[in-house]
Order: sequence, then C-alpha cells, then structure tokens
Amino acid sequence: MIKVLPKQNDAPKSEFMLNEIDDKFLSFETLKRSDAAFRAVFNNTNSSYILLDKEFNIISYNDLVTETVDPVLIDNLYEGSNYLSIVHKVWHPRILNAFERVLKGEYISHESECTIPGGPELWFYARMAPVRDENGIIIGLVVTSEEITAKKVAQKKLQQSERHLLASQRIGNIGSWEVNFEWENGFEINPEFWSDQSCRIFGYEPGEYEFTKEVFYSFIYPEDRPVIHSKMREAISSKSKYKFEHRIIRRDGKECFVKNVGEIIFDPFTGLPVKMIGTMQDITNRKKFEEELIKSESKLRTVFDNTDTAFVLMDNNFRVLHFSNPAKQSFWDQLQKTLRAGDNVIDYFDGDRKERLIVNLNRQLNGEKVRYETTFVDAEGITHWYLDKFFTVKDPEENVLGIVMSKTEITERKLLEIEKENISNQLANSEANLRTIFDHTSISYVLLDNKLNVVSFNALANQGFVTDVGIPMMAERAILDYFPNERKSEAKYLFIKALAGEHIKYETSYTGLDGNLTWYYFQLSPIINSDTRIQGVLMSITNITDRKIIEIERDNLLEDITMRNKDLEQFAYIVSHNLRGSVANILGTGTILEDDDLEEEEKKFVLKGLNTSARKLEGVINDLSKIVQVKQLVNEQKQKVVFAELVSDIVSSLPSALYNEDVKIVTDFSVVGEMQSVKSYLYSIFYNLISNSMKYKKPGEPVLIEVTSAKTNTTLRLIFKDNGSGLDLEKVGDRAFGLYKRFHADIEGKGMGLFMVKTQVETLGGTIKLKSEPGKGCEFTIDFKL
Amino acid sequence: MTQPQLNFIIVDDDESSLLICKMVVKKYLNPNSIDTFPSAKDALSFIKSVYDENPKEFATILFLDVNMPVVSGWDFLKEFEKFKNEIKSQIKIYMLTSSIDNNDIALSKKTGLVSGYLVKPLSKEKILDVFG
Repeated sequence: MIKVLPKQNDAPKSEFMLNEIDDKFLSFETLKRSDAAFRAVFNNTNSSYILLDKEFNIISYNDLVTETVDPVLIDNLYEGSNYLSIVHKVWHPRILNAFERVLKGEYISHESECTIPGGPELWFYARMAPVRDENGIIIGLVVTSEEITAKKVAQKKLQQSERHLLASQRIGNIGSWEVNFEWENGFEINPEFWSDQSCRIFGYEPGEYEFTKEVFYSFIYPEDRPVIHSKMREAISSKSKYKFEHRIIRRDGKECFVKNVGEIIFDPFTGLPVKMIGTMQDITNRKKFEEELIKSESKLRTVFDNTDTAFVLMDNNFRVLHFSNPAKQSFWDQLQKTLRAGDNVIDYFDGDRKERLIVNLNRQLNGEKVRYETTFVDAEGITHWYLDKFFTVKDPEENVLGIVMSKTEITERKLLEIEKENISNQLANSEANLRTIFDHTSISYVLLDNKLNVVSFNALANQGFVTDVGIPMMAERAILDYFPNERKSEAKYLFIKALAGEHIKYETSYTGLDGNLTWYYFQLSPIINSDTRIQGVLMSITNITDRKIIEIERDNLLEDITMRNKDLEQFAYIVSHNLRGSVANILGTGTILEDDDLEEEEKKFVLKGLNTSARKLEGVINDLSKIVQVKQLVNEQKQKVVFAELVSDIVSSLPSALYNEDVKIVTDFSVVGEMQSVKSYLYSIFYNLISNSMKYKKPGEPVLIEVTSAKTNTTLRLIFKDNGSGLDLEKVGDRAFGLYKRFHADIEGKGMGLFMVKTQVETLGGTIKLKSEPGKGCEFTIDFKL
Repeated sequence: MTQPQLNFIIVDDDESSLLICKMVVKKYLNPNSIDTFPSAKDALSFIKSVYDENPKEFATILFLDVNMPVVSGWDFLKEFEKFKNEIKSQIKIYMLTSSIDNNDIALSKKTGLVSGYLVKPLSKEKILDVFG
C-alpha cells in the first residue's frame, strides 16, 4: 500500500491511510499492537518496511528488512534498536538529513545506490513517510524500501549498450532498421524504425524526412526492389536470416551498395511473421574495391594465360601454388599428368629428369640464375625446343618466398639457328662456285675493310678501274687511290657515312681515259657482323650509261614537248585575240557599210577603218609566219659571228630617230668576241635588244647601253644593260617575253620584239633572263651552252 | 521605238574597233553623249573627275575592251572597284572584246562589276538585243 506513496500528488490518499494508522496507534504501544496486521500486508510484497519512532528506534519491521540491511550490522537488528545502528556509518549523514525532513512532514522517495564499500552493487527504491497521531502530530516515520539493483543494472546496461550501439553504428557506418510486412498488394515493406545511421547511409540527416513507405522505396534501386522482396519472402518461408546486398540511390543521386542482415520476428501465438529487425552497412567502397580486384585479377590472368610461356609458381618446398593455363597444357602434353595446386613439382617427374630438376631448383634457391634448353618429341615425331627459366620470388626483406618456373617454346628460333648453320656450311662449301658467279655478274664489287682498304674485288671491278683510272685493283690498297683527286673528298665523306651504318646510293658520271662519258650507279653498304659491329663496306658499281643516255634523251624530249606546248598555247592566244580582233573589225565595218542610210562622209571614214584593220590582219599573219619560220630555220648553216661587227652593223642600220647623239653604246667583248651560230638570229637578238633600250629610255635623259660577253667552262654569256625606264617585273611577270605584250602605252610597238628574241635564243639552245625595276633600266642575260 | 536616254563611254586601244563601236552606238541607240578613250588610264581619270563632281542626268553605259597595253580591261575593273558608290552606281559596264576565250567570260562574271559581255564586232542586232 505504501507503494503508492512515491508521487507527491498521491500524498493525500496515503496520508489518509497513514491517518487511519495514527487513529489506531496513538502511541508507541498502539503502533506496536497493529504490527501484526501491518506485517501481514508487507510480508506479501517485495518491499521491506520499518516503522520508527521520532528517535529512529525500530518499532516494527518485516522480514525483508534483513535483506536490505548491512550484513555486517545485522546483529543490531531487533525491535527497539536504533535504525542508525543497523545501517553502515557512511549512510548516516544522508539518512539523518532525510529523516529530519520527513519528521517535518515531507514525503521522500528516491532511488539510491546503497553499495557497501567493497560489496556488490546495490540499488534501492526507498520511500519515507511521516506517521501522525489523531491530532496530526508526527509521532514517527515509516520507511519502505525495495531492492531495484537488477532493474537498475539492466537499465544502466541498456543505456550503455544504446550508447555503444549509436557509437558503433556511426563508426562502423552500420545502421539498424525495423520493417513490417504488408500483404495487401502482394508483398510490401513498411519501414517502422530507421536508425540515425541508416538515414545517413541514405544520404540525409536524421529527422529530415518522415520515413514512410514511399520514401523508403524511392531510395531503393528500382531493379533491386523485386529482388529484395523475393529475398525477404524466402527468408520468411525458410525462417532463416535475411542477407542481401543491393543498390540504393542516395539523396544526392549517388549509387551505393548496402549490405543488409535481418532477422524475422514471428508472433509467438500465431507463428506469423510480424516484422524484421536488421542492420544495414554501406559497402560501396568494398564493392568497388572488389570489382577492381576482380578486374585486375582477370586482366593479370588473361596476360598470364595468353602468353605462350607456361608459368608455375611454387613455394620453397617446390609445392605448386599457382600455374597458368599453358603450364597445365604443357604438363598434360609432355607428362600426361594433371597439374594441381598443392602437389610437389618434383613428383611429376621421374628418373634423370627428376634428379636434374631437384639440382636446378636448389641452385636457383641458392641464388644462381638457372636456365636451360629442353627438347620434347611429340606424338607425331616432331621435336619441340623449350627454354626453361627460373625466377626467385622474394618479399621486401629479400627472403625467398618461392620460385617461378617458366617454359617458353623456342622451336622456331632453334630451327632458324640450325638452318643458318647449315647455310653457312653450304656457303663455305660453295665458295668456289660463288667466286665464279661473283666474277661473272654485270655488277662490279669491291669489298673494303673498316680502314677503307681493298680486301677483295671481282674481275669486272678491276676492269672498270683500269679503264677509267688506269690503276689495276690490288688487295690492301686504299680505295681512295682509285678516285680522281677532285672527287676524293666527296668519296671519303660517303665511305665514312657507310662505315657509320648508312646505306649510300648515288649516280655519277666519269670521263674515262678514252674520253668517253660513262654513268655509274654506286652503292655503299656497311658490312655488319653477328655482334652488330661494322666490319667494312661493300661497294657495288653498275654501269648505267645506256639507261642514262635514254633518260637524258627522254628529258630533252620532254623539255622540247613542253616548249612546243607553250608555243601552241601562245599561238592559240594570238589567234583568239589578235587575229580575231582584226577580223572582228573588218566584220564590224562591213556591217556598217551595208547600211544604206550611211552618209558619204561616214562611208569614207568607215572604209578607212576597214583598210586599217585589213592591214593589221596582214601584219599579224606576217608576224606569225616569221615566228614559224624561226622555228623551222634551226638548220640554217652556223657560221662565225663576231659580236663587235654585229653591233656596228646594227648601229648603222638604226633610224636616226632612235640612234642620235644622246645615245652611247659601250661594248666589251674582250673575254670572248665571237661564237659559232646562226648569224641572222644573233643579228635579230642584238637588234631588238639594242633598239628596245633606245625606245624605252627615260624621257629627257641620255641613253647608255652596255653590251658585254663572258665565258665559263660550259657557257657563253651575253649581257645587255641599259639605263632606261625599266619594267615592274612583279606586275609584268612572265608576260615580259609574251607575244603582243606591250608595257609602254606612249611608245609605239606591237609587242613582237622580246617575243622574237626569246624564241630565237631558245631555238639556238640558250636561255634569256631579265632583271629590271621601274626607273632602273633593264639587264638581259643570255646564256648559250658551249 | 522610244529608248531611254543614255550616256556612253567606250574604252578601246584599237582605233578601228573604237570607231565601229562609236558609229553603231550613235546610229542605233540615240545616245545623250559618247566619250571614247584609247587608254584605260585616261578613262578612269575622266570618270573620277566628271562623275564625282556633277552626277549625270542619265545612266551611263561603259564598253570596256579587255586586251589593252599597260592598263588592261581587268586592271581598269580593279581601279573602278575602288571608286565611291555614288560614282559606281551611275555606270553599267559591258566588256567588249574580240576574244572568244571562255576564260575571259568566266573571269568577267567573277568580278561582279560587269553587267554583260559583248563579242566584237558590235552590230545593230547585238546592241538592240541588250539595250533596245
């Protein structure tokens, strides 16, 4: 009954009860007398009670008190003894304080730890109430108490474990959840509880959302929803744990992997599944790592399995740890044994091979690098060659962890080697034959050492050098001795390049001692021995004179055709512009004359125009025939032409309008004064160039014309230089020598002169070039081949 | 036949051609004025001075020979292009040439300055076909 006392608002009720008590037990005696009934009530509860007078002497108590009293002090517990004598001294101040408050009318209830120093943890729930007489005067107090240690410990543990849970969820990124099931629409999950960490895994802060079914589903990766359902139903039907990894789409759109583990709670009465409690862990990183690992492993595996080399990894005791597919294949092919991890490699072999392998493996373990070649004859009788190599696997501290054995098939290489050996043997045998061939080819060969001295040569080479240089080939003689002086440095340069590893090819011509021009194709090839050192140079010389002559003829022909083509174009241009221009004029005047209304005066005028046009047409036709003639006259007899005579002839024939006292002609033909040529052409060339210089002078200035000659080995050069008005070659370009091209509006001319000059120079096999700037005169350079 | 009044400029270094052109124009097109130039350079300076200072009452047709020494028909067009729009808008250019070279025709179309291409000799039919 006193149990209802703890809360202050219940006080009136308990006071009434206590008042009842007060009525019946007014004094110590009366208190005592009611003891029996009181005790009966309390003995049936879990609470102990002690009734005390104002001096805290025990008037009455029930048996349970003994359990709450300090076992050390239990002897002092009897009716009439003082309460303070039965509790440990350490509690006295607290108890006295509480009792005094109760004696002043307060009701006190509290939970307190009453652990005796050194003893087990003890918790009590104690209530203290005043006991009054009928006048309401406080005559004592009643103390009831209940041990709540178990509850308290459980509570503390719960609090602690909740704290732990929260911390561990946060630390381990593990969230917890509770869901119940809805069967109305097939099967659906309804979240009941979602821990803070679970929320964080979904990418939002706890409390940010009300966690409804819709919200829950929105986070689940759509494709995984049906799988979650079926996994849960499977767990329900098999009453087993639910374990599933699936994807979620976080609030920020990031796709994550979570691992869920859950347990189903079944209704103990109906046996129906009520809910599922579980945990959730973000395993995105692990998943990613796993995927990458699988990827890189499979890559490695692919490499491992796709090389032709077989690998077997074994530990220090030669026990197989890993091997590649080719290794497995090789063991099967050669030993008819299936390679298995865990087996000892040595056990796969017998007899000598076994012995040899043990020796080699141990040599490898001792730090030697072991490699050797093996052969195997397959079922078809074909011999296969292999290179076996061993590698030691070490940890970072250089401790040997195991050995890798690799086996590479080298049959092809081996066969090539054998073939090479055979060939060199054959070569040695057939050297005599080779020598015969060597001496009968159409190519000259000279073999040189790395000091460019002759080692060997064929007959043709000897013959060639005798013809061209007059020196027979001799072994040990420097090759440069065979080159004419003016070619030595170039030849040396090329030989040195060949010695540096370059293949040199070039064409060149020599005038032999007999005066004949011969063309050669030279090839210099470095001779490289097996260890890639350059030992010397092989010089091969082919006489290509016949081919070269054809080539030169072809080039000349081509040049000729190109020129003729240009001439044709020029001709077409003349026809379309100049001939047609005159014809058009004649036609035009003709049409006008047809008109009957024409006045006499006009008629005369037009007829005059007709005449002019007809004469112009005649002029063009004459010009054309001249040009054609030039090209046909190539065969005119060549004769000695003296330049000085030519100039004086021209000067005397020039009209006085051009050649007067303002004109000065300076000539210098001291270097070369004459040439064999077609005189009429040279006359025309000189005439046109000199008269042009007079025509296109700078207005009001005296004219100075310089004509000079020069000569090199192969050419004769004529230079015509004036101080006239010049031409803007940037503007005029290649039209300078064009037919009917005129560049001076104010000076009479039909654009024929320079065209004729060029045509004639080219017909004589020469070239003409013009250098000029406006206002700075012209300089024509004519080169004739000798 | 009523024809619009027109001014004519003829640029051609060939005197006979110039004469034919002038006569044909005079006879069949009832021109307001005819100016002839054997040199393109002179024609350009004439246009520059006359057409800038006092714009003509009537439109001007310019016959331009292609093939001329020093300043050719093409050179003329290059210079003409630089003129003010006020001058250019007064003058329509027709190329006049003895050339029947297709390259020349294509080239004249490319400039965008040329209204037409007439092959010499200029005749009554040709001229009325274009301006009649």
